[in-house]
Amino acid sequence: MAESNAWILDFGQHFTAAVGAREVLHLLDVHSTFLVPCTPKYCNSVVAWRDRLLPVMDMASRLGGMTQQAKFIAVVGYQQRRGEYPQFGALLLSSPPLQATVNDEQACKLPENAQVWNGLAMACFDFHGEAVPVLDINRLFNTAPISA
Amino acid sequence: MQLSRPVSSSTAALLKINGLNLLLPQGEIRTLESATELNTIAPALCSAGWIAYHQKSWPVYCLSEDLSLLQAVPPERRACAMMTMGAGFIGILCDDMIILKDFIAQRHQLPQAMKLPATPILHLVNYEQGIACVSNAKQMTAYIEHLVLNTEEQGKVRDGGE
Repeated sequence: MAESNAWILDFGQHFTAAVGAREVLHLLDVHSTFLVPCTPKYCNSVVAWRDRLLPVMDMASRLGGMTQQAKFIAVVGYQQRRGEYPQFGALLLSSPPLQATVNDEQACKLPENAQVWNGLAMACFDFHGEAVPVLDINRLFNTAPISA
Repeated sequence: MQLSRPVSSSTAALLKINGLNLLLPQGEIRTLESATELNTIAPALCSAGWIAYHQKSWPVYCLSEDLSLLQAVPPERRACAMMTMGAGFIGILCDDMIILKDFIAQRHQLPQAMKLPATPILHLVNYEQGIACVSNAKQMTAYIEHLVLNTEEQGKVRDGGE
């Protein structure tokens, strides 16, 4: 049975998702963000990381919840296409990431509020009775804003 | 994000607007006037008033740190940067303006997920302990026109007009 390691991310307001174990690169202090005007409210700041400015995504707000007061920032890395240079983004978290090992038998349907994920989840698995979507980071950071 | 672009060097004007650092090409700012020169009689739609420059009066706009238009001018906006707009000028109120001679900075693309269609921001640069948002006269005037048109349309809807 195929097993994969994942990080389970808590975005606050009962929004959680998982990413691959190798996709979370760093945890940062939330105080080091800078606001950028004329941006969507769910992604209105950047954080400096290794000579780059990364977009900071508030997933709770992106999924229709309130803007959150986050405690942590997770730097995530992804590739748009296999073999290309990695891209980076940042996700606001309410609590530290939780590591999990997942197997094929845990696959399940998206949570009841599936429509809010609107293509941002590439799969879903059951974790202790809760449906945890697998976040499509590439799509999240490479899709134009949905509104102001 | 997107690899940063190469380092660029130019003389720039940094407008400080309530914590926002707005970086514009210095050559596009023709003069800095005092906000006390602002004539607030019969201002153009969404503008704060007029400033006389080169024998004509030009509209002056007051922006917040999130680049929305303000009708009431905060007392901190002490200066007015007169920016070229085609053959004329447009004024933008700011708290302060600093000329950065031979300013060298690493450009960062505005991330795709943050790029709203009407944004006047071309890219970001590191500045002191934070960032500055880079724009130019063409982008800023188009953006302000967009805000004014939107306000006008909303007014028509509210008034029940066409």
